[in-house]
Amino acid sequence: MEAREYEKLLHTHRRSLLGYAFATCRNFHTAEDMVQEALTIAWAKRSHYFPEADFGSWLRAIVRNVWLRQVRSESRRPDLSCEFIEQYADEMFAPAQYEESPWQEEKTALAQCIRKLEARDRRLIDMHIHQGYSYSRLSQRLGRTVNWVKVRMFRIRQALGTCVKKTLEISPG
Amino acid sequence: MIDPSTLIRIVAGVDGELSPEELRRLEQEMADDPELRRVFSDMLRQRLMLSELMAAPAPAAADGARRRRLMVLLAAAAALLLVLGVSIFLAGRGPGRAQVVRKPPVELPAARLTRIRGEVRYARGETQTWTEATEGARLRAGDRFETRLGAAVLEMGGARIFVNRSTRLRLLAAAGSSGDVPLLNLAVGEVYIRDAGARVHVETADGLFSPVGTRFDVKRSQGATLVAVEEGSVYARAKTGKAARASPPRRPSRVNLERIELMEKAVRIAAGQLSRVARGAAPGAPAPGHVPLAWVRRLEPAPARPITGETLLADFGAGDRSLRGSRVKASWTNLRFTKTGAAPGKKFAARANQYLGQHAQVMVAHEDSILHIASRGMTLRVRCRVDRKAQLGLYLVPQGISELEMIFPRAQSAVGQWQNVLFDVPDDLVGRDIVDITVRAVAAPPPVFLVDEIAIQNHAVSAGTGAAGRKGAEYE
Repeated sequence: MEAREYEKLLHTHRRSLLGYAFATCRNFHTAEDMVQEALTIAWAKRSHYFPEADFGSWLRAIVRNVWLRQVRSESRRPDLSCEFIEQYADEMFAPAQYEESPWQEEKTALAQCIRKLEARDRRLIDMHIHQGYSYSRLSQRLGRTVNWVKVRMFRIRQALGTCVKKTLEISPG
Repeated sequence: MIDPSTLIRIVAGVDGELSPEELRRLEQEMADDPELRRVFSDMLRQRLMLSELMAAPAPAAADGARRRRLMVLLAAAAALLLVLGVSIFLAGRGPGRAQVVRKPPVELPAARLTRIRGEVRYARGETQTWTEATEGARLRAGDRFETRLGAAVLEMGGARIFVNRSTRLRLLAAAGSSGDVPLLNLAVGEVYIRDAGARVHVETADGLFSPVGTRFDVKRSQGATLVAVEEGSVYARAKTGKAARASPPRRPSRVNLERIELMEKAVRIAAGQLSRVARGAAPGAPAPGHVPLAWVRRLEPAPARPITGETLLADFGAGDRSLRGSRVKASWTNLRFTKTGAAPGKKFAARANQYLGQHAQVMVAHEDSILHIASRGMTLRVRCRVDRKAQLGLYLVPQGISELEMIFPRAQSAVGQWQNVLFDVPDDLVGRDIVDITVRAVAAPPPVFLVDEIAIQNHAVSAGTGAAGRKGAEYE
């Protein structure tokens, strides 16, 4: 396969691979690093590629190895079991679900929906996702119970999901 | 219909907020129920999207048409602002004009010059006023920094940045996903970074280099950037051919990493590898290799090692002029600093066994010999620590030197035929680890300084003894 085509193929799988990496490590930056490393390895091993193979699972295997190596070096256990993720990986991380164009549309809609959230809720997800506050730290910071944070997080995500759906339905095309 | 408590657990699971047991239980439930898996997968997608959005607050840079439209709008707005600005400025030139409110400079995490060798200077923001840098000077985002023949170490948020000679760089804050991160905009020269969690990014005209807990060297010269990694790894991405400038200058102190036009392909350079990156081309495949880092070692404090006749001879060679007259013998051991005055018995005082680029200096004292300070080059440096408010005295016997320049940090700088020199140590230097005095021979022939005495008043450490038959001078 031509180097350019191979690069394109890697690019097609990049985001679904990021989803897979994120599911394994639950940290966006670590996931990005893992995917970057996996793609570099895959690029270096492009001579091993043959079209009959399941490219997605091969890439996931590389990410998994990168992750396991990292986990081992830090002497800790992975959160979600690799078996579970691997068993349902084709279903959950199909590249079709992560295609560039629908992804960008959905992301734009999500950005709009975030702006529609109440200021308190916006602050809450910003503190959790952007600033990395755990639920327990959030609960201490806000003077609420961890359970309250859990429920609030769920409601925010549910509201965002509904809003995105509506936005995409009414937007032309 | 899925039970709300299960949905709450799914969201918490995606956020990594479930205990291992709770997670196993959820996995079990999801394994049995495809609907739960679908919800989990949707939530995971949404979470990833949120992370992407929050990691990149600014719109993506390479967004062709939209970007061009935006640029036209911005140019028009800038022109309008310029016209408005000039009119306001002209209108307000009389008494009672409105005060200009300046934004405070962006603060980098404690950017401080901790070590300086030779001439190093910096300029604040866009000003053209260059200030000679001194150890302890604080730099801010937007400041430019230049080493000519000198070199320096800069500490920033736990990272140590070694700056080689002939380097020009600018310190910037880069808007990253989790707040500002330090960004070095390297115009030319070389930096070596020991990154202790601060993740100092480096930008050159060729690309962007992002470390992952690492030690690495970036050298920009001859239209390309060479990156060598000693520990950890570095992601290198080349700039697109279009990106003509080293950094987007909209706000000179802060850069949005997302706005730097980079090529899609990134290369991970692992420990023991190096890669050459040039603008407009994919980074070269990392190859095993190192770059010489002797200059970094020279900037580090010399490790304590015993001073013996042997080490002196090894450092300078038996026939070296530096040791002439001091009759150093390899068998001498336990050489140490002595208090002011003649060293008793065979005590031998040595001090300032340092290397400064090509210049090696040594000061050797022995009760029967003249204390020598000799330099193969032209610059002598006296280093000491001053614990209390003190005066620092030097007695030099310059031989064959027509002129000497003494530079004491922020106190005096003078040119003359110096013999007795007594400095007041400025208050702010008292208690500092090292005070440097540079003695520069302005004119040749070969500089050999015979030093009778180095005395730090009110301070225990001093090296020196008189020449044979001559008592070393002391300064009251």
